[in-house]
Amino acid sequence: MDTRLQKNWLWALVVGMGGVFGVGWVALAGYIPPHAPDASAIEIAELYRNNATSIRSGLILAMFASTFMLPLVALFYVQLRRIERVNNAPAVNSMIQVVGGTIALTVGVILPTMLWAAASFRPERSPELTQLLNDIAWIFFIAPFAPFATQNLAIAFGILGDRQPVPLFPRWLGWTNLWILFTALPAFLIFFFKTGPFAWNGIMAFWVPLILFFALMVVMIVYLFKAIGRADYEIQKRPV
Amino acid sequence: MNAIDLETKAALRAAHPRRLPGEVGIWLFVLGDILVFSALFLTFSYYRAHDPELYRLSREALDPAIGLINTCLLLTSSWCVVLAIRSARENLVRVSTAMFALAFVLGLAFIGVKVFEYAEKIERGITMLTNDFFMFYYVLTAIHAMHVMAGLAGLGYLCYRSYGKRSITPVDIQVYETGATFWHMVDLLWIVLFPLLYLVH
Repeated sequence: MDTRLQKNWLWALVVGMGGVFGVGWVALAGYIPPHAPDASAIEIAELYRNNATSIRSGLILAMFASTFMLPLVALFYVQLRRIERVNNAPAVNSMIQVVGGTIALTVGVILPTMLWAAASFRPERSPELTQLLNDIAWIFFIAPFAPFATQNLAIAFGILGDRQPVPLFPRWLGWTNLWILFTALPAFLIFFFKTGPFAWNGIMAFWVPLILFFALMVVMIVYLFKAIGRADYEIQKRPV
Repeated sequence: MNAIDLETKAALRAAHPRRLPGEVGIWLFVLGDILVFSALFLTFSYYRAHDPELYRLSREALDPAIGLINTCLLLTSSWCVVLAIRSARENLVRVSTAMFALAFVLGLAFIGVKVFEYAEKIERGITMLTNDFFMFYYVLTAIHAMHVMAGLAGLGYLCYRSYGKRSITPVDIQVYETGATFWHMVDLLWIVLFPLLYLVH
């Protein structure tokens, strides 16, 4: 099977996610480190007023990069579907991954970048309104545990359900996807705290989950490349 | 990579028995979880160092006796799991099923005691927003409790899988050991959590 198409999408994803989103969102727009949840409306409004150009351009880059993040869901679908076909399983985990991943990216990436851009669109409006938009965007960025968890669970069960002698993905990757769920649990706490480790800029609600998630993404993409290249996976088909 | 390489690979895998109990993947899970909990413990210690009086006074609201009961429940539960696997190795299916079930019940009791502990505090008006110590108390024990519940799901599955089995295969043992490893980690986390929150000055 010609795997070039998948690999090209995956490379575009790597460049999009790593390069453009990183440069745009982090360097230009300055969203890392996150705005303080306990900052006053006036401080936030000033931030958007004084940095309007760099915020807007950075976010535009991030939005553009999102174009190439979305195919990740489909690429996972294709590989998980391979596992299901060979193991005679129905298309459950592969589809659940699509549902979870699509919603997660929409609600966790597309929406926040748009809302932040909306905040920077009219920085002279009432500071409370700017802060409201900023709050909503941060909450959408950090707190949507459910769709991400759904996606991770589906990937975990998909990988662990592979009964072939040499599975398409190593089994430990399935367990790692399960583990990452627990690291994201503190996301729910950001509604209660505006300072400290469990605020949206806190070490346990932001930094630890972000770093771990990014590390997992890198590992998943490496093994996705390997899985795409596994021409021999279907040959070993052991009856299940 | 052609089909011959694949067979060789599978054969090599079968020829070299694993040295770790359970699957490799669960150990990565366990290591990762210990890492994240260490971050939580370190954060707690760091914040406590900045306000030792507040933490010392707040700690008095906790009852170490209840914490000790919880510790005993989890330790006994872990011991039951050890007995379950030992008897599984000797094909004593009914004993191992019973031991998994007992471990499950003890774990459930742990949750029950936790709920009672939380309820008693909330009634007195102590919530996770009361002060920093109680923020850590509730969040740390709640995240741990969620791990307990995940472990209970695992134990439940092991009990169900063991029930009515005619003979136990090496694959079964590996599955049991995988679940047991997770449960022991949950126990270990509590053994660190208990003195950290309830006892340390």
